[in-house]
Amino acid sequence: MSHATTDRDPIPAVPDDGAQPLLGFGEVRTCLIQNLAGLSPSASVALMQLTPGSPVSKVDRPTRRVVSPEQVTGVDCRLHVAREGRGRAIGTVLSHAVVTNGRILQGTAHAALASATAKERREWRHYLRQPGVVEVLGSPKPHNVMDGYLTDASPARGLDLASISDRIIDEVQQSDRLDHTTALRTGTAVVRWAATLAQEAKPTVGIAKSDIPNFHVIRLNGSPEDLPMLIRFCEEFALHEWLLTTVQDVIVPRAEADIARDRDPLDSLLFALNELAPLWMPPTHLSPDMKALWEAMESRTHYSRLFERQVARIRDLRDQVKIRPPRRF
Amino acid sequence: MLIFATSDKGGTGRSVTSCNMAYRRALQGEAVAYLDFDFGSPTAGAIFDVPKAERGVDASGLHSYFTKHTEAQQLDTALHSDSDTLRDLPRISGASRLVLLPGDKDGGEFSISADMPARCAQLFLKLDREFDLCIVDLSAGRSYAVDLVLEATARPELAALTSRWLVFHRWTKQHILAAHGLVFGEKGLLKAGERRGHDPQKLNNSVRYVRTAVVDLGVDQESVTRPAQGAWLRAYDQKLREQADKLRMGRARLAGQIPYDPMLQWSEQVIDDSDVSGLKIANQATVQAFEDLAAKLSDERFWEGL
Ligand SMILES: Nc1ncnc2c1ncn2[C@@H]1O[C@H](COP(=O)(O)OP(=O)(O)OP(=O)(O)O)[C@@H](O)[C@H]1O
Ligand SMILES: [Mg+2]
Repeated sequence: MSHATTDRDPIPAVPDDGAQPLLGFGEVRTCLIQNLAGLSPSASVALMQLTPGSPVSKVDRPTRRVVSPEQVTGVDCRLHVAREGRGRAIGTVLSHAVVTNGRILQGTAHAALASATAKERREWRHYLRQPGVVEVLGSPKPHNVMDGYLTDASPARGLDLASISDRIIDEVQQSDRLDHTTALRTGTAVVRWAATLAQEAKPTVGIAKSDIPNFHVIRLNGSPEDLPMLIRFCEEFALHEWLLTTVQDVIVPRAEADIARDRDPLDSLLFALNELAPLWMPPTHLSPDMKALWEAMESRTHYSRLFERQVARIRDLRDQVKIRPPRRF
Repeated sequence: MLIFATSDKGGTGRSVTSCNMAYRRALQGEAVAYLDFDFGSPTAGAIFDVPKAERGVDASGLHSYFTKHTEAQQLDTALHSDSDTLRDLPRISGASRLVLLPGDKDGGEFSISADMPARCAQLFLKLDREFDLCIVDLSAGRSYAVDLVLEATARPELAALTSRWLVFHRWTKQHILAAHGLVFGEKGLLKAGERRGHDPQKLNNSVRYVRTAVVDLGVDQESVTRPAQGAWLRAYDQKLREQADKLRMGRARLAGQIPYDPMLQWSEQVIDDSDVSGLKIANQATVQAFEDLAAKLSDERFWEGL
């Protein structure tokens, strides 16, 4: 079977009739593909063919990244607004899946929020003409809308990008192209982000602390045209964050416990070295703005250094096991 | 791995035993999810001492996952339980997590609609990505929950997952017969599984039995005081064993035998070594039986075809 591919990431639409987006919202989930072996390039493309006929985009370097066509979900819901104000959100949310190196799956849902172009709900035709744009009826202050979204523990009440990104993950993971064998037991990490958009604003990023494990919150700034880049930044952040967490909180402690109990930890150590470590590829080559965002994030989190340290630890553990292999039962 | 815990009669000790088994397994280093599929009367929250799930949660429990399509919430017992045993779990070296997927407060049984088996399979697949072991506490008897998981596990997307069944029963003539009927009867698991595309032989090979609250004649029992009484109990125990053998529920298929423990009789809870060695309110043999049962779950030689 052949599949249409393009080598660009899909770009969400900007509203046509003058409604300028004020906010960008999104949620990214990251997990391992439920398949014993890594997927080949063509299998990855086939898996990402969520809409037959629409092009799957594919980039081979520095890591192989295959992105599904955007899926459109209609929404009409109350917004969860922090502090004061009310708002109703009507429009469409876009979502897509990404496969990296045939191993990692991401599900992203995103929308640009703009003030409503009419006092009442318009015909669906209108909203469908601007995929990825959600119009806000009522006039809550943007920063209250943003805080409401970022802090909502049960987003099912408001604009529920969480379940849209969750659904796309489930849809892909259920595909009969996968053997559904779990290669390594790890969690799904969630990154929820929101961006304040203003003409000519320079892109900036802030990572908020969160108490919930596997849950991260990002606040961004930028111009409306930056939105595709901000979406990509969040996906890259999510991927790297997942890699670090998986290595640091899953693989290393488990290997240490295995060694203490005389069990063989080699499989997961080698998985980390062969399959996960090569995925550490900060997206600084994409554009100067992306480079600046990434470096701003790095300067506070030191993720690359932490990751390097974990990989060194894994090499040590591997060598330790090679010298003194565990007793086999 | 998926473990389905079931029993024919109610009140056999299925939930108390499964919760303790889950705890031992997490202690042994496996990430465990406990799914309360007893939709009518979810009790796992009470056994794990999770106040907000005492009788099921207010919203987004497993019942709503199926009937209202909400997400199924996961409660890490280390964070949500009031039991010191469970709160201390993360501090024990080599131990992993024990997460409860609670039922809903006003749940109730429901009939299976067309999309539920796929949704059930989706949940199992998702949990398998994260947890080494999923223990599914089904309600007693042939419930909708049993049909639902039989249908879900027959689906192709679950073919790579290992599913095993534990049938819990008390150590009496009636209970042995009832457990046998649950598996082999006209409306039993095997027949029901076959109708949904399972190979009955393979399904039978994935079933093992757990005897619960068995009076332990080996240990000095305060309740067994007269010689005649002891002799009768031993003889009767032998008769029950012969009955179980005949019904293909003998030693080879015995996953565990949990002694009668006065503490568990009064308090449905998770017990740990401090209840035995420190407070001395539970019996060492009970903890050992939970530990052995937990270890059996992944003892491949034990689960090989018979
Ligand atoms: N090993 C044991 N020794 C003594 N009593 C026990 C033991 N295990 C369980 N019990 C008691 O048996 C009763 C029933 O236990 P449990 O609730 O676990 O059963 P169940 O099979 O899950 O019941 P249901 O069908 O209602 O869900 C409880 O009161 C519990 O205290
Ligand atoms: Mg029960």
